[in-house]
Amino acid sequence: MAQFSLYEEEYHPSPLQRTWHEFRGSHVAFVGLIVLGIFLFFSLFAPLVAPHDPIAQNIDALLIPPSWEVNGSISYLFGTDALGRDVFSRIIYGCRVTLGSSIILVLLAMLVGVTIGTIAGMMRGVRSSVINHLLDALMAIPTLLIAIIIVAILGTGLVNSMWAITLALIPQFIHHTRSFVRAEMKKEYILASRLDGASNRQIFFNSILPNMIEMLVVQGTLALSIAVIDISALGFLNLGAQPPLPELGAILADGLDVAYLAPWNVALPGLTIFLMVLAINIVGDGLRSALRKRLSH
Amino acid sequence: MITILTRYLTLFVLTLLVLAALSFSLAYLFPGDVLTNLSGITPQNEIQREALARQYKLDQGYFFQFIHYIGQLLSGNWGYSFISGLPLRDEIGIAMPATIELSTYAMLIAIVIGIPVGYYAGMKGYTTADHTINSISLFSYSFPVYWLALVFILVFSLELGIAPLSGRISLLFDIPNVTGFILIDTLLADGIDRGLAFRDALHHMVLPTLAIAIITTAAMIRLTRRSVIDVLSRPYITAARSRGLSRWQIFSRHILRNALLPILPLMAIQITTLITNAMIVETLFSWPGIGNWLIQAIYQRDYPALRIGMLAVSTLVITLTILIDLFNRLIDPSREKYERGTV
Repeated sequence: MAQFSLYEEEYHPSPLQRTWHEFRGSHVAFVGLIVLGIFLFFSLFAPLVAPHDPIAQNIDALLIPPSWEVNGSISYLFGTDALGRDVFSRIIYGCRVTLGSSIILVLLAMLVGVTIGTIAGMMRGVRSSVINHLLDALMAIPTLLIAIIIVAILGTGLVNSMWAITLALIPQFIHHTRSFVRAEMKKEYILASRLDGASNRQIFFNSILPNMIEMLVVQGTLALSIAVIDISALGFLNLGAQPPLPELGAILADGLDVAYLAPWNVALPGLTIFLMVLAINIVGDGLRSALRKRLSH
Repeated sequence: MITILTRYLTLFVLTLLVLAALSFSLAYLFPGDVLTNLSGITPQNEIQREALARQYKLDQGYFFQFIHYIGQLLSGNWGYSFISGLPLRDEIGIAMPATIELSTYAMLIAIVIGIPVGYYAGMKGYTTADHTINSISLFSYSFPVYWLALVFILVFSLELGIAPLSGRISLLFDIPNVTGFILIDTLLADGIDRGLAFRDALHHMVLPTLAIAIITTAAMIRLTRRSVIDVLSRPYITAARSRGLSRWQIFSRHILRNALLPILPLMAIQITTLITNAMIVETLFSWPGIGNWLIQAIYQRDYPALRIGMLAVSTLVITLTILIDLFNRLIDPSREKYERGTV
């Protein structure tokens, strides 16, 4: 028989601490977290990190190659674009615009999605079934399509493209929240609090929400990677952020005109988006497997 | 069985009605004249305007206008494009198959490569081979599709010059539009060297298809791998093992089919991503598909085209999604209604 006393163990990690422990055990996930941290640092402290003004044009320094090329200059680390703007500074500010707006819109989508999802999950009967099915079906409409429609109604701009992507992300939060709330409502501990006289509201805030946070974090990272790709895609298609605003997709689209002459103008912003999405995906993957390991033990 | 079919049919009709209502309300939401947005014709004088308004029942309430709108949609009168002045139905009839063709080939590649590789990785779960496959798929899953397509163009078309830059087929070939699928059309066309045309069309298709397929394949690998690993941890696998079945027997009898079930509904979600990616890639390769068409329409503020294009694309995606969902439900009744697998 196993000999251990629960109360004499010196260390009692909380569920969150255990997930963190599992997460740290995977080196790749941890590296992903560090890279994501660097991107977050760039976005928060862009004015301190960037050596030049991202929109200041310099006619004396057009299309200077990156500093590692023979005729590059160290004062322009990633070279300059066709208007003499420093690509490195633009990318730093681009991280701020792209990552920052993505985080904001994911949080917004999460808030709305969880609210509607909870209501739908607690509701029963034909009405809820119809709403659920309709939402599931509408979830299938591509983001790009929603964005095109919103741009047609409201006009182009970063904020409008953010609305479009928020709208496109909400159904998936609703879906997951609803399934989660449904499954939780059938469990005994909910029944126990219900017998204690807890109202639906109390059940949600005291019992379901604490259990849901991890699921929300995992879904949030998934949504974040989609949001970054979509925001930059819309910027690239000239439907989102408009040019002087340094948005990574818009920078990429700017570089397209001189792609043959100055390939770094296309390669570097694209690489940044790729690294950002990769870091988010690695962290999300690490979180999911950490959660899975914790739950299976 | 009948109940399920009725349920899905009702759902399908309801969703289409919601979409039609959305598309109808767009005529009011878009800037500009409602009548022009609805018909695509700019009336030249007051008399023509009156006649058009009567024809579109604009003098009656919203509800009757909507009923009339649905009738028009069903009878195939979808209005005219602002820019080209052509009937929208013909334009979509040409653009839509091009997108479907591109997406179908990408999906086929994803299924043919992704699912077996996913099975292999799942069976080898948590070994070096599995980790390698998993990392590669995570890597390729993170590519922004437009950048990948750009890199392809820069490397293969401009640097190496081994692939054409844009379009569906060389302008030397005059291919009549029969099925809308260029590979089939080249084989049906008369008076040209069919083999040459077919190879040329294939040549044009490689880069855009690959750009889309790489991302979808990566997603497919990850879905399949996860599903196989989940099935492997089930008690019936342990039971089969304890009965002395070999690895191959367990795989072919218990894992192969059980692991496919949770993949199906996730494939429905992949279709949405696939179509979005196809639409973006089309603009880069000047592929005459619906994505390119819609993005040109938004650049030129062609509101009637946007209204119908939105309806057409969302109808296509939703029909596919609901069909896959229905199929999944029919072959797997044990499944809970809202259950979906994870990546």
